[in-house]
Amino acid sequence: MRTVWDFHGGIHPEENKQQSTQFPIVDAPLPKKVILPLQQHIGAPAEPVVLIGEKVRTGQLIAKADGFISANIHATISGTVVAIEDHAIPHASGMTDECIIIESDGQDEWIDLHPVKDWENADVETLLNKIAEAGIVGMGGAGFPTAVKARTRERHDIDTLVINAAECEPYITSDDMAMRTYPEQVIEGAKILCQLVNPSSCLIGIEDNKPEAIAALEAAAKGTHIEVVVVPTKYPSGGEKQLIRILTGREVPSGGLPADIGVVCQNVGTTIAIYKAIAKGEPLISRITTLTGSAFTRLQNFEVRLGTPINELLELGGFKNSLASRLIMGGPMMGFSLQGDELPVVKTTNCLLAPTHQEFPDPEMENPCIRCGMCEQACPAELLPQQLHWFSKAQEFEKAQLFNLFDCIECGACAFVCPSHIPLVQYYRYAKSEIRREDEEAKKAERAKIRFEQRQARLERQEAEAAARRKARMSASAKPAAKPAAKANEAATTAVDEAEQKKLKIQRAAAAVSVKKAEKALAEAKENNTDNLTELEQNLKGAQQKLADIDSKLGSAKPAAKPAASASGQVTEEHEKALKQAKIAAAASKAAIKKAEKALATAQEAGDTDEIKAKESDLATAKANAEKAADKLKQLQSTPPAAPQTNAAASEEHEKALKQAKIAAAASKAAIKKAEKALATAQEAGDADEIKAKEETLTIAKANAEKAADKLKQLQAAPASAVQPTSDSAQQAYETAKAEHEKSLKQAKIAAAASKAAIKKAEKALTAAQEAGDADEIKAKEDILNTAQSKAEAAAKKLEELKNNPPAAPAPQTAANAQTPEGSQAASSTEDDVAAREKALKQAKIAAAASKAAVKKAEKALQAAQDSGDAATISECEQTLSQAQTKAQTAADKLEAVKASQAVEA
Amino acid sequence: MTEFFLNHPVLAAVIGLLALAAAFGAMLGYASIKFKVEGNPIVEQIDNLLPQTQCGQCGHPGCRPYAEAIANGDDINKCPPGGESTMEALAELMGRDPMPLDADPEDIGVKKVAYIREDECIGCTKCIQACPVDAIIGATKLMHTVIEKECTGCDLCVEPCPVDCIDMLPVETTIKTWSWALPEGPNARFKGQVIATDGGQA
Repeated sequence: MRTVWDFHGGIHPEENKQQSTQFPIVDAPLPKKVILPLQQHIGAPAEPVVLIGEKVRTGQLIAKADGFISANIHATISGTVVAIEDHAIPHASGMTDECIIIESDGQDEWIDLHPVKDWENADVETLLNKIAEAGIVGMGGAGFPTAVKARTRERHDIDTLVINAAECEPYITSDDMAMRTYPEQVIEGAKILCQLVNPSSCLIGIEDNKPEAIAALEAAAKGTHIEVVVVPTKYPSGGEKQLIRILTGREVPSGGLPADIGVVCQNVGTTIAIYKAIAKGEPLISRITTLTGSAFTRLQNFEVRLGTPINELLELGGFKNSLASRLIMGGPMMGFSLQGDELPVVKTTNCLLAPTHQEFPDPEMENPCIRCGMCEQACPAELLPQQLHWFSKAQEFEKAQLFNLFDCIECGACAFVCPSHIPLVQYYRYAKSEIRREDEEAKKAERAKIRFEQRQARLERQEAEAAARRKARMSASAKPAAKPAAKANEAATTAVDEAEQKKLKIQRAAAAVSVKKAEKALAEAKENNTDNLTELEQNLKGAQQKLADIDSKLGSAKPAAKPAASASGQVTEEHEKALKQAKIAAAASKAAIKKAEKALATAQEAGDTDEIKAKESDLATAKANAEKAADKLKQLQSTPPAAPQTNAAASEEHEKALKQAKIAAAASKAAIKKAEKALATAQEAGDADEIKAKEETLTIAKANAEKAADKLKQLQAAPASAVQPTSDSAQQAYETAKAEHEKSLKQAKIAAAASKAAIKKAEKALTAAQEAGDADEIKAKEDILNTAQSKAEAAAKKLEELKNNPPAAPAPQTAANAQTPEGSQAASSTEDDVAAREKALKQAKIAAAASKAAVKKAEKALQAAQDSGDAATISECEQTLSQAQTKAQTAADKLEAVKASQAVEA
Repeated sequence: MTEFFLNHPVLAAVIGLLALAAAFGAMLGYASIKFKVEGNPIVEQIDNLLPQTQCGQCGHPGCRPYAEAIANGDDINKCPPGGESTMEALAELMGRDPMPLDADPEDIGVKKVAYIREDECIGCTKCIQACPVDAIIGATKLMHTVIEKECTGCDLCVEPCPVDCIDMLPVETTIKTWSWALPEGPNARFKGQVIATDGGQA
């Protein structure tokens, strides 16, 4: 006697098996039509291979397995395919699925059968193919394709084959009756399976409540290596994992397969089907189904064609609808209630149970869990049903999975023992299907994400391609447009020239790179002694030629651009300078007037008539000067910038002197007037002393006025060029101006040197970028180089200007002239001006700084745009940059002008 | 050496501590380079919880941008396609309090699929451009149709259709997607139950 193990838990429900074992198996009459669902198994539904209206014969393949885990479907009667449509199938949901419906012709004409005659010597592949062709699935209830299961040997070492004959569920007797009736078929089928799996032992596990079947099997198995093992009756010993545990003592790991521990388990009904398929060539077209339950009058096992509508069977069994509480497919523990009787028998229909209300009362009201723990005692899978119940109820599916929900075999033992009548299995089924659904959704989400990301990538790629095309088109149309514009407008050439230079420079860079490349290639070729040396040399020459061409072009472009720019720039600059000086002169004359007035007033107060007169004449000349200055300013403002510069400088000096003299004359006149007035008031007051004093001052003022008038005359008579420095102070001023000029010259030189250094640096960076071959980088560097060059140009210009304008030879003259009429006066007038000039200087400096900042900002923006690689923004940024640069240039020029004028005035 | 340390205990302690600091600093520096985490890993986790319908109902252009927004403090209740369960999962992940979904209660949790009434379709391709997952196929002036399996039910194709021939239909339960209902709980009978609880024993 073999050792038999026990499994945890289990229950002992009333067996109720004797009712249906009283009579032998009978062939059910041929159905009038059969409904064959395309999916009667686990896996993918089969693919129909017949057409509607097609004549079929019994055993003919009508739907082919689709995929690895799938099973063939055969016609179970001969007749005509009348429909391939959705039809209600036996399923807990009561829903429909695709079925092939065949109407019987009543002939039951079979196809030609091709058994494997010498199967003992046939190879495994032939047998497996035959089993797969026959469409055999697990007949115990799950319906897993047998051929797939039998192939486990390819991946696992199998030492034990278990034939599951336990049939532990109450009421069901189909296996029992089959074993009693066809014991040799069971043994033969087991032998075939042994050949397929090649185990060291083959065990038939059977519960001890089937003594007749045990006896029959033992008789049939005599002389073979197949062992019939009788196990104690306990539900659910027929569970695959439980039976393996009982027979071998091994436990199937959680989430694993029996094959993982070297065991393959097949149902006894499957074994018979295998025998029929191999030895008789019959596909799976019928099965043994138990009709039981007290609502039947004929409780018996029938050999039923698959697809037979249940109502035909109910009729056969003498079903009394009034007695039945419900109709169940499968057993009382694991079956499901059927909705309607238009359903077909399928490959897994082992039992039709029609219990009465006495047998199967309606389910009890569910009560709250009292945590009694009886479910845990009953669970054959050693789970914690109570915990699983809580988790499922609270939809805490993750925790349920942690408590191995998926190891639950849904045997119903826990619900059977539950004193609170909790439908525990339903909770688990719910949780399982929810988890599966969530998994499915997660998979779908993952797929959606991938599709979304791929779409996003595609759109970006298209965008980039479109942008590149647009850029190419734009540059192609910009080239011919730029050239004529340059020729048409000479004044506006500088900008275009710059652009062209830039382009040339880029071309030059590219050419230089190609030269370098060609050189490298040549060197490599020389080293490797390859044949194409001459070709490479030619390449190099061509590249060098190109470079030279571009260089010459670049050379011609530069000087062409420069003079035009500098010529017009210089003229305007001169004009601006003159304008500024005139303005300064006007301001100075105004100040002189004010001073003269002040001096006159003091003289009047002092009562010195001579003084008053002098002042009055001063004032008059000052006023006249002011007028002249204003005139000149007006003239300068209205005249075009092309005003002759050299004459202006000379005449200006003279005029200034003249002006001052005039001011002095005017001032003295005013002083006379004032003195006269003072005299009049004194006369009115009748103060004799006072009158005398006033008269004196008046005469002094008059004398002064005369003096001033004389001077004025003299000045007016003298030619402008003859004006010479007359005083020591003028000489001093001249010297300081010279020093100032030298200083600014030095600064300009320094600036020029610095800008040259910047150019060198930029050129170095450019070559580095060219070597690296990064186009964006090259452009950026070239821009930097350009700005540096323009800066250098400006610096050079300034330097030249400073050099050309000799140490302000006219400047000291002005100073001297200003001082000639009245040294102290002029000196004091300049003091006032200094403040105004400083202010102007400051403003100019601020403007220059602001424009420099703008340039920097624009450069930064350009860099960022180049990094991002957006062509449109790059061109935009370049424009703003060039604008900012021109602004900066003008600001710098202005600053210089202010500084220069200051130096001149000083 | 030893004598020096013995004679200058304070100096020895300082040197020792400095040596330790240098060693640990080097270790930490190495670790910060070697085990550097690229990007924000929480965004990845949030993104995995979201249903990836790319529907934009949250106000972000896709699920990942919303995941980034949540990581930066956005509300977790803006995903109607994900429903209550997604919100709860987000709440747990982010350590925040669950909050009611910001959506029409009728729309929550109802899976939908776009359906093009094909005889009305004029072939304008606008829905194709709108679909975030390329689940609509068709060409100019030719009928379009939805690949049902790939449709996320995001609704984005309905708006651009000039002839309003796209319907959002609830996904029907088939025999493959059917699942057992949750028993109502205490004080109710579960209709589908088979087990002859005491029928066999009586």
